[in-house]
Amino acid sequence: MVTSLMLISKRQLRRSLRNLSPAIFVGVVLSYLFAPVIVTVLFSFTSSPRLSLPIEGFTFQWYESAFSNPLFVDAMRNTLILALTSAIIAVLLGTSFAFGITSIKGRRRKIALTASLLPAAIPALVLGISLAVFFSGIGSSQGLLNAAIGHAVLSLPFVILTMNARLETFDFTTLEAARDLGASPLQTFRDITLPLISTAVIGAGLLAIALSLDEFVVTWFNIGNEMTIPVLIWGLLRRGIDPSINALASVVLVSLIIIVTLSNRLTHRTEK
Amino acid sequence: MKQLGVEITGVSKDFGTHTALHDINLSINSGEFVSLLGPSGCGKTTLLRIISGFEEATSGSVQIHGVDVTNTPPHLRNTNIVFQRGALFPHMNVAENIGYSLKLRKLSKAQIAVRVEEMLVLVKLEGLGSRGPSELSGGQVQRVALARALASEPSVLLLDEPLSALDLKLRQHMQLELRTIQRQLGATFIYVTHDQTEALVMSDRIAVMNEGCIVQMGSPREIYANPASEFASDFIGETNLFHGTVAQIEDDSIHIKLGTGQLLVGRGTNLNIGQPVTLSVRPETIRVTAAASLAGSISRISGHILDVIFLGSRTRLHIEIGEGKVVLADLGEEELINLTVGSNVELSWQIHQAHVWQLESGENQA
Repeated sequence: MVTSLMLISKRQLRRSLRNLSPAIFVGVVLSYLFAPVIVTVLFSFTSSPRLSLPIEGFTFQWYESAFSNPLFVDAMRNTLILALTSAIIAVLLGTSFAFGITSIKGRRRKIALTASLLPAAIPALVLGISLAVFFSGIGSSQGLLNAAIGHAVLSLPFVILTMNARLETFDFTTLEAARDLGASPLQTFRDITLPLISTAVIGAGLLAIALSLDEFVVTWFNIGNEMTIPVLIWGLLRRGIDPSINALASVVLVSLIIIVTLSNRLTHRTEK
Repeated sequence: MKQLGVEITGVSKDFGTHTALHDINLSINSGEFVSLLGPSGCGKTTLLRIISGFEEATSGSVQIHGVDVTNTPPHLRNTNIVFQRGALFPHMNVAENIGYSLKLRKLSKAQIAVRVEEMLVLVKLEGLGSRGPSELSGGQVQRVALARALASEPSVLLLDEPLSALDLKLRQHMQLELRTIQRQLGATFIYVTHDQTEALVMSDRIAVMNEGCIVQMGSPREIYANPASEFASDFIGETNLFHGTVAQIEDDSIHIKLGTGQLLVGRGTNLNIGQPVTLSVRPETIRVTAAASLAGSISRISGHILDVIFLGSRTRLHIEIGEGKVVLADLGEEELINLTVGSNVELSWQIHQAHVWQLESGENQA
């Protein structure tokens, strides 16, 4: 009697372990992915300037010191300029491109689409250097504009992908219907096309902004003497790690999470 | 006096090396319901798109109510299309969809509301104005599309297979309703379809199209009873086709000899002895009698019944007449006496009910 009871419980134990093991594995992978990020955020609030666990106290002083850094304001402004400019360029080009290839049929369309997505696979280092060489070749001096163009190149494939996905389910006969009912091409664009693609456009734009916000390599090779938040962080790191870097990184992190979530929401919303 | 609705003169359309339309001439009266009927790829949709302005004719001209619109862009033409799958604007509700053309014409909100309400009543969708297109059934979508196209009172309404996505029952119902609406408004409808029943039910006249040409134009009854070609007879309604050669000509009675040696008779013109021809005879015009009895018809062949299929209002016989050639014959209840599978029978028809044409080259149906 006793042994059989023990047998059952042993078997049950094994079974419950077996049921648990996938959950444990998922937990391990997730903590591997997120632990560094969480630690960074935690350290941005610690009152000790040494980055060591356990965290000693809670403070906002690193955020204050990061924001009061005279370079910070400049870097923030440049980061935003870059993000907005590159997103606008990428969205305008990418949306037109996605519309353009809908009129191409069959294999040639696939080739055009694949070719436009390829830059996403080119290492940022190669792209950064190529752009720097190209710009110096045409005699354009390094600066924000060059970096913005570089960012647009980086985000363009993602914009094209997003817009192409939207247009796959786009009923182009609605555009003919509008023209047929008396709308000029411009009125058709204003009344039908734009409202139907606007959420996808905003989603793609947010994605482009997110890609630009934390971009370092291409920026570094092309921006010259200007400063962005990633470039600032890199500069600060060279003088040793200080929790205000964590504070900056956390700010970037939180904005990215918000932007990417929003972008996802918009581009995956089914438009009826 | 019949007023001219649409006048198409010498319209051709080439897509690269492919010619979609060959020299089309078509006059449609105001208030007429005309169907462009033909198999897919026959050019009917291209013709519709040329009338609406979405395609440019390579040559020829299009006039609407006497005004040449050949070079007018679609938004300046007084034609509206009902698209195959509605093509409703997904971000607008039913009322906004219907009112869109009126909004473009800068009518006041109150005027638009009145007209939209009229249209909703016309297509029997009262009270659904605030629904979104995704909340409508397939039939309702097409009703809204119709209302939207009719709202601005176009001189010509173009319908591009608008019922093809609906199930049979609904389609039949909508056919009659479309007809009623067209009569009620006295509007000119041009209806593109590949469904011959649809064309027969609704049209005042049908233009039968094949390979970029109008092969016959006439009322449904004319086209059904007197098809102008093998294509028209085969495409509209069901028919039996026999291939043979002309053996004898008496006025317009043509005797043709089949490969099996049997002789058939029908009407035809411009034929010579020995010429390869096709004879067409509709299943319901064939009389079937037991082999012994001899009725007074002239054309007669014998065979035996392979199958008897009950179709409700009539019964279809499959009759083999030799060498595997099967003839379809539709009979009413009272004609069926003594006819069962295996019976030997005689087939006959009135001469004027069988049509003989020169064999169409390139086509070779059994």
